[in-house]
Amino acid sequence: MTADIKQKQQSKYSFEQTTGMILAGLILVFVIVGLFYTPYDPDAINAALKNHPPTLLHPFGTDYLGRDILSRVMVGTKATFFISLLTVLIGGGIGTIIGAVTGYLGGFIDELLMRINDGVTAFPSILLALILVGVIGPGKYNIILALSIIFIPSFARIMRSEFLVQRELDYVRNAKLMGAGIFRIIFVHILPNTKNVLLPAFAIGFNNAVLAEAGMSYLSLGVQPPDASLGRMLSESQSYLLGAPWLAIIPGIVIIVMVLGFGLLGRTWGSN
Amino acid sequence: MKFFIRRFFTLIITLFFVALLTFLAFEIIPGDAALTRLGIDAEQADIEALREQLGLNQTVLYRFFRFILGAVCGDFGVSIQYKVPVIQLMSERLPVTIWLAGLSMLLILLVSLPLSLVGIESKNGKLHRIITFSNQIIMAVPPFFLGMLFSLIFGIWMKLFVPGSYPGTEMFGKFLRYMIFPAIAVALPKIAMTVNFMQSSVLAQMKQDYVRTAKSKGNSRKRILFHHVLKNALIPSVTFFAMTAADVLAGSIVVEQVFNLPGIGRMLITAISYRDFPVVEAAVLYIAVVVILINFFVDLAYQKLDPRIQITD
Repeated sequence: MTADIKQKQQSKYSFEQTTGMILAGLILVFVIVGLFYTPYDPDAINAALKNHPPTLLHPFGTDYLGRDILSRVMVGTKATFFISLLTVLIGGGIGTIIGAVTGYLGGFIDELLMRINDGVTAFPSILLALILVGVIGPGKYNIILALSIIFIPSFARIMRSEFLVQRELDYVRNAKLMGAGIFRIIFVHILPNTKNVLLPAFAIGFNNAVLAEAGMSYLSLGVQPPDASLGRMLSESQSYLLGAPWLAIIPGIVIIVMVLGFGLLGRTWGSN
Repeated sequence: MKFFIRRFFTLIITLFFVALLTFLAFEIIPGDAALTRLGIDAEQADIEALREQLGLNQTVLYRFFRFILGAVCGDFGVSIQYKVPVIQLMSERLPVTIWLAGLSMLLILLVSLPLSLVGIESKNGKLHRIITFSNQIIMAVPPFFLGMLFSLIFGIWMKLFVPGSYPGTEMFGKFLRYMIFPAIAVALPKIAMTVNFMQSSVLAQMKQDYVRTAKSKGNSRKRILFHHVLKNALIPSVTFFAMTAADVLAGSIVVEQVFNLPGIGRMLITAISYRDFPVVEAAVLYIAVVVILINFFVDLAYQKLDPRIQITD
């Protein structure tokens, strides 16, 4: 009987779910392997092999300094992945706490924060990131800081509206009657019930972070050389579009696979 | 009218706060503006003179009002990097950004509205699913990578334009032919997003009671779609277009870099790297004001379109 149900659930995976899992899985494999092993030293310069097209030894070719692109893409994917992950965890975490507390308590602070929120969310994230980096200066850690700050309002807004609904439900009243404290109600009772909203929000946030990080690094405001990042590789490749288009196409495709994979996964989390 | 006055009041307050934040942000940056401008080797007397000239010896409040007054009159000071008034730099670069963002917006409106009606008739059909899935893929492409792909495909392989050689505004035909490629690069992901949004908006309306009423009165599906549903589905799209307009502005700033366009975006990015603060300050303030104004006008349009929205909120 239980096996039967399992069978049914498994066949329920739609085309989009399957694609999302495969693509996101590919990126994860890339990131995890890149933590321990790259085929070549990603920063090793080889003057004899400048802008070499893909071969068996260098499956993605080499760049304008003869560096192995596969190794650089692995390191770059790792950088983009962890910057985006940290960003969405920090920004999303703080945003969730603010939204949860203000949504549950309401009152003047709630009203004030939401007005500020309205103002901030009107701006596209890359624009805000540019403005913040304009103030605090470029660099890897500044990008994490800038992007985290930017993600706080959208998470706060989503969580607030969730908590506004949940706080009126019976199970919350029950918990209150049982004498549970505010923080216990917010984080132990309500928060797990918002996962259908929270998980897709984190997936979308992650995607926006990937796109914003790639954009900022492309504009040389994010990860600084010689460190590899997907956005940086794209901007470095631009002068060699004519002779070595694979320099641009490969990191670009990795960005697309990353955003598409986690985007499709996020959509499935939302619909369940 | 009451709605308008309320909104206008909020607009003024928002603008004031944006100006205050911009001013404060550049106030807390460590370092002395006079010292930055003259270099570390400068004579103490020169630094003092420049401090006096820039008004750095005055109180913060005085400088803030000078900043506001300057911003209103279009005086943002002098660029550290180019040694010319910031307003001159801005007025040279503004048209390029306006053209790029305007062209992209036009493309989005022209393409996405008809496209969102394709396949909507069969909401679970193959065509609808294909469109939704390809939208997902297009949305995952960063606009600057799209720009690079265009440079490669249309510029290098098909030789429709020379990548990186912005022709200037004098020859309008050439200018437009060059600008169309960055405009498409900015517009394409937004078109995908808009089509997705419009389709779900139309499908949501299709479930409403008035559609059933119209159907029971013997209206054809097509007539219901065009005469009843579309009008209502467009209302939430208005806010969506405001977001898109802001996104297009952001996209233009990055794509300017790909196509070597001398617009506000490139000016801002060079200024950030050079720590050319008067320029950064002006560009930031300008972009913020544009985004706020777009939202203001969309709010007004929204209320005109949907009389159900009252001033209560």
